[in-house]
Amino acid sequence: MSNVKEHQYGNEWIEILENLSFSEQERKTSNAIRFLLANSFPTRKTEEWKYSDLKWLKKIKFTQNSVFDEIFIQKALDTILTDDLKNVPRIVCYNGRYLKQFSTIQENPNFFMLVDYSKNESFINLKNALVALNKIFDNLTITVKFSSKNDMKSILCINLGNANTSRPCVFSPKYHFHILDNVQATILEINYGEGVYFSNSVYDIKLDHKAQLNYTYINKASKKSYYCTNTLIELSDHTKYKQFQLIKGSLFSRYETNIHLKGEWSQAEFDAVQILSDHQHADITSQVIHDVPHCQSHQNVKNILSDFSHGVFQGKVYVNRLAQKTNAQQQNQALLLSDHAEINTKPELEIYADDVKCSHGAAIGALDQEQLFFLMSRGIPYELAQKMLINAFINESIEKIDDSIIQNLLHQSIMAK
Amino acid sequence: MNMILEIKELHASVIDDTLKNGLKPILKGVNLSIPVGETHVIMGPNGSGKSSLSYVLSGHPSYKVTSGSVTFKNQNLLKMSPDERAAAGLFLAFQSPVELPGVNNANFLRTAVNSVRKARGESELDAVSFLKLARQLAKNLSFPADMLKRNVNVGFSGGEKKRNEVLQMSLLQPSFAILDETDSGLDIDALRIVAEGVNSLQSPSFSSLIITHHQRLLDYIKPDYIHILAKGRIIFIGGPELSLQLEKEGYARFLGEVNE
Ligand SMILES: Nc1ncnc2c1ncn2[C@@H]1O[C@H](COP(=O)(O)OP(=O)(O)O)[C@@H](O)[C@H]1O
Ligand SMILES: [Mg+2]
Repeated sequence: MSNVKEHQYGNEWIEILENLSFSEQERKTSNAIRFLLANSFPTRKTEEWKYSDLKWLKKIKFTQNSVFDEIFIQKALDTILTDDLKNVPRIVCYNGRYLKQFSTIQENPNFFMLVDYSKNESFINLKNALVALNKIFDNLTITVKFSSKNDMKSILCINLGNANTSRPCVFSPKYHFHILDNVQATILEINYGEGVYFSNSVYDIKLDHKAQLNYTYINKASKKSYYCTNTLIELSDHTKYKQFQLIKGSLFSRYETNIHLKGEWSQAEFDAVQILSDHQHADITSQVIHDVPHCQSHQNVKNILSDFSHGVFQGKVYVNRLAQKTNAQQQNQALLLSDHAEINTKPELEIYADDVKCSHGAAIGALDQEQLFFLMSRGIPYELAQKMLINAFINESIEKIDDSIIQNLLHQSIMAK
Repeated sequence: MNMILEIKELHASVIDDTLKNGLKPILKGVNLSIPVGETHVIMGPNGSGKSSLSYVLSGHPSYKVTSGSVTFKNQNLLKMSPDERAAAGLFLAFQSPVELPGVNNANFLRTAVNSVRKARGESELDAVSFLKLARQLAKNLSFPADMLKRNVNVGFSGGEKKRNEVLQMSLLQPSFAILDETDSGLDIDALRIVAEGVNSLQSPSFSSLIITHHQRLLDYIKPDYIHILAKGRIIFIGGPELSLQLEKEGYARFLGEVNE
């Protein structure tokens, strides 16, 4: 029986690969494809996919071919590039590919390169289906090295997605960010797009000795789009990694973050705010591995869920035997604004060291009735009072960001329809 | 006489899910009328329903009116939402104001003022004229300037919260104010400042209902009548001298006359 089942799973991938026009020959030679075929298609019976269902990936016939729509690109950039952002050096990608003519950062061996890692097995060595699915496409990896050799410390990455609703496409952005010794870098990534498409990206982020990275990720893409990200972050000693994700777009999205603290005295702080409505589904899944002593990790995820939306938070913290004096905190707070909205939250701690400070918690609720009444008793109408309290809830997260330009941008993105 | 508020045979329950029918009766037939321009006081033992009455009047969602009527400026008050009541000129200074983490006090005050002005058909205040006004009023209340920059009531002392209530009242310019133990927990100076804040609103068209346990506030604000509320009903009405008598003798004499 079980053999028959496995065979069926294999077939599911074959069908997807056939849709994507991979030949029999390609299927035999690609390691990534072999990995896919050897594994079953993730279903809700798979532990990591308990709350998010990938069945749309089988239903929708995605193609690799996309249309190049210059008018769309120009319009999108006009919307995204506010006065604050106009002069930030930028890398613009369209359906997963670097667009030289719209970017202000050009290839340069000291800073930015497009690299073919397809033969390099060590690039994103995560063994999961979506990473493998990303790797079966051979587009080049956006590689940015922040070092003292280069003055550029703040960059803007714009990922545009665009597809005809009748011809959904899939693309596989690949990023490698490397922050060298003692360098402080800032990356702002804006995802924006129209139509039905699936952006399945991987990120490989490395911080060397005393490096710092502030990484802000905004999804304000089409509410018909599908986004999956797999991010691997490796932190050397005395590093500071700060990540903030704002999720407003996409019908289905899943953000998988793996943080590996490999050097002592490092800190990782990664927060996320999801604002979902209609039938949107967004999943934040993370895994933090503390391997060495004296490190900190802090995670705070907030979900603001209205209509029929569905938020997911799965966070796992491993503290290995040697990682004494670890301080790890994990917090999920969900605001349910409708009776039909749903949240699944699963914070997990696995601790093998004895001298550590770890905590996790989840708080799920509606808006505070006393606070709402107080505002209304001062003449503020219900909708506005509600908005003020939701903003207050979100502000707690945004106030932690040091950069006022990014703070403003987040406020604008939150207010925008 | 022209009444600003008329409460007739008001019965109200607090919604309490731990109870079988979900309702706990608190107000059991309150009758109270306040003519325009007058200041009335409610005194009464703890737990008699004074705060509940003020919540019912301002439309708190935890209370359900089971019978009776409340007319405010010739309108059915009970049909109005809390924000409509505020726009109509009703203001409640809360006994224990809530804290609003993440909500900036100045933004909150400006949103409130402009919501009310809009509803009253008045022009909205721009940020500059609002701040000028708010700073002046805060100064009158000896309210440190940084209170406007902080989050609403977060980390405020008891006295500061009460002053913030009076500041809101001064900004919203109500025609009828309920002060629920606004004087409790204030030192002598704060008490005088708060009383001055209330008195600055006084005019022939301003009326108020003051809930208090202490005579000393009434040294500053002269009431027209004093009502005793006990066990959910007004059991006695007297003149301004009643508060002195209650201070000396307590409620025992009046309570003896109440039937359950
Ligand atoms: N949310 C509530 N649930 C249950 N009982 C309540 C609630 N709020 C008030 N009460 C009860 O209502 C009664 C009147 O309370 P309150 O109006 O605060 O009295 P006062 O202000 O006169 O001291 C008290 O017995 C109190 O315990
Ligand atoms: Mg009370």
